Amino acid sequence: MNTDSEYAVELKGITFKRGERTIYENVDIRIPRGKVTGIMGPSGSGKTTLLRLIAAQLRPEKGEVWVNNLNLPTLSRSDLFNVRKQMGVLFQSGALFTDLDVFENVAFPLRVHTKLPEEMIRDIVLMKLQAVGLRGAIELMPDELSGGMKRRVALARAIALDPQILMYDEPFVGQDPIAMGVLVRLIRLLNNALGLTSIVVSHDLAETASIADYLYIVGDTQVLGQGTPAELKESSDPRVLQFIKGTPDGPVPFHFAAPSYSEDLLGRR
Amino acid sequence: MSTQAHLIEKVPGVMTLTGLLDHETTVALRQEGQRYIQQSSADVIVIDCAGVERSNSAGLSLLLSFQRDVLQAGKKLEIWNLPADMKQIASVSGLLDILPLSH
Repeated sequence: MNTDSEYAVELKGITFKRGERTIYENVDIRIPRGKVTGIMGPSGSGKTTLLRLIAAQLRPEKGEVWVNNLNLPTLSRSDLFNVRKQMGVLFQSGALFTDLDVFENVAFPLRVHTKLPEEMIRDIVLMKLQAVGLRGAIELMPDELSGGMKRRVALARAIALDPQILMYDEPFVGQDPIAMGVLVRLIRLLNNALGLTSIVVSHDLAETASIADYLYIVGDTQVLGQGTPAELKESSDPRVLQFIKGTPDGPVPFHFAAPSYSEDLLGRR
Repeated sequence: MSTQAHLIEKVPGVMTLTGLLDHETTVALRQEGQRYIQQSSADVIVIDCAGVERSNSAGLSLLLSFQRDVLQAGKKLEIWNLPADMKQIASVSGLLDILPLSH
């Protein structure tokens, strides 16, 4: 797999619709290799959709999705399977298997994707759990874990196959401040120490800006702004400022596009 | 996508590990190394990693597996020239104090 390019992921001219609703219109996004890139935007702005396009779980209506110099929409099923092994995803819900203990949750991708003997699977599971500080929880069931611990187990599972690209979908949602701090540190540590490319989708500005090398702000079917966290804070673009300052109405309207309210309530006259 | 990886006995007691260590290549090397360690008459087994081009966590697990074999055989293990990428994984996974690294 070619990994020479400066960008691990490039979206070119992406248009994506859900039914009649346009989520993205001719959008370009480039994710620099080896860095932490934050994708920010209001809830419902299509951030998770973006991750699913990169993971080839969704196909764009138009445009190209390049991952490690392969255009995903053109790949065969088996080639896609191989590319996906290079990507780890930490889902918003954690999505642990509730009937498997912590060990088996982390071992799962190794059992599905490799023919490693049991002793080596055990080594790798222990290594990944040690990295997230939860080796001691190996025999626990998911319902015995706190929310923060669940997310760290899910992170151990996401890195079980040593992906080159690690995607985080709203990693900070519902976490207490200590768990949040632990996650922020882990995302940065794994990125730097393992040479990963990290993509953090989030609407938590402070946490994401604190770890991201580069930020995109998406909304209203477009990339509203991009740059380093410092550059975006200095932005004069009212759409970027609205998000950064958290004002409810502005260039990005508070109201989802809707027919006339009076017509809705009173009928067309 | 895996290329080749090899485990070769250079001189008695010294095995050189070369190539790309991943989830596929390490499966065969695991068994080769085990056979070698069991049959070797050397008291100290050296694994020289200078020729490893790239490795993921499976390469570290391979070394841990050899370490278990060596301990079981009542011998001593030395790991030479662990490359930077393996050292990083070992560091994040807390293995720097466990693997007998030298040189």
